[in-house]
Amino acid sequence: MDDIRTIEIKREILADNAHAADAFRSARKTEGTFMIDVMGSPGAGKTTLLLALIERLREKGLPQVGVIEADLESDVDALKIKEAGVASVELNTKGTCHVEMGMVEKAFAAFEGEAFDYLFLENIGNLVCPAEFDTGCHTRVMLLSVPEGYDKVYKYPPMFAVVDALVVTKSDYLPTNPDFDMPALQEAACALNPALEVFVVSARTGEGMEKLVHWVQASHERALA
Amino acid sequence: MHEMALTRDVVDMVLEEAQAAGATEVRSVSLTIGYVRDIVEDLFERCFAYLARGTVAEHAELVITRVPFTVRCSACGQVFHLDVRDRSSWQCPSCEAKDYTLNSGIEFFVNGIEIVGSTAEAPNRGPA
Repeated sequence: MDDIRTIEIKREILADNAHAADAFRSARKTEGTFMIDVMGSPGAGKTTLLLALIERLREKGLPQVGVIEADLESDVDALKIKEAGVASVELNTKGTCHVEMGMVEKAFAAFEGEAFDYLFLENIGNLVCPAEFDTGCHTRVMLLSVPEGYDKVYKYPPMFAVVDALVVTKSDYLPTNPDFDMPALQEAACALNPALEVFVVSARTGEGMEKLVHWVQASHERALA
Repeated sequence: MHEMALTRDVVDMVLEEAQAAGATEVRSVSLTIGYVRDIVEDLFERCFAYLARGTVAEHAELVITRVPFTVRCSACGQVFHLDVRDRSSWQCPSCEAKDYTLNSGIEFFVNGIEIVGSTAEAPNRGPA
């Protein structure tokens, strides 16, 4: 006869994605590739920051750099990266708001075995969903641009809580945005995540870029040690 | 709108466990979801109902337990609730230290399911 019973499961949702991410991370480490997940809203300046960052990394040596450009549609950003002479692969999610491991693996395979010192994943422009999914990167960075407003930390706290670094971009807009309360942002972000590194940069003027490049290089060494 | 992708994992997991237990119906699914997980419960439920249609879990009720964002003081070990909108919660209530690590809030798992199934297939069950 039929009866009703309760079965304990205790299984992680996204466990498959997490396992795939761990395996991917470990494989890249073995190859000497340091991978960085770059997240932030549309228009936060992800592509512009990457171009400025890559230019400075190249001034300090000759690292092999690749970029996986994730967007809902189009190859606009991938072309911008390619025009700068950087290997890039377009990852179109066809409307999906985030990137998962299956997509990362497929995009990475499109590099056809090319070796990298630095591999950036420019995640989908979105301040919410990407934080949920482990993309197999060694470090996670989020961008918040000055024009977006400092109060995003109160409105969208989860991403601030899970990233390794917060990069406040477009600092050249600070003089024209007197309401942008930088101390309040830093305080609240670090309250959510005391280990958070905070950088204030402008890719346009170069302000703060040097410090960020140092951190990226040091993180590279730490992650692959 | 990542609820659909997350629900897909949940439905797969529930159906796998239900089948292994010989369930003819899944009455409820109990989930634990941390505060940091940006989940819209209503949308999550609708996605589940959509993806589970035509299966034994089609009419399952989702019982969701949300876990607050808490941190553990690095100095004295006290666990406390942290609210980014409430400045007074940004330090340890016992020793006032401001150094802490994440304690809870990122949980995301299926606790268990309540099923209807044949007693004959229930494991470790003595005679009725």
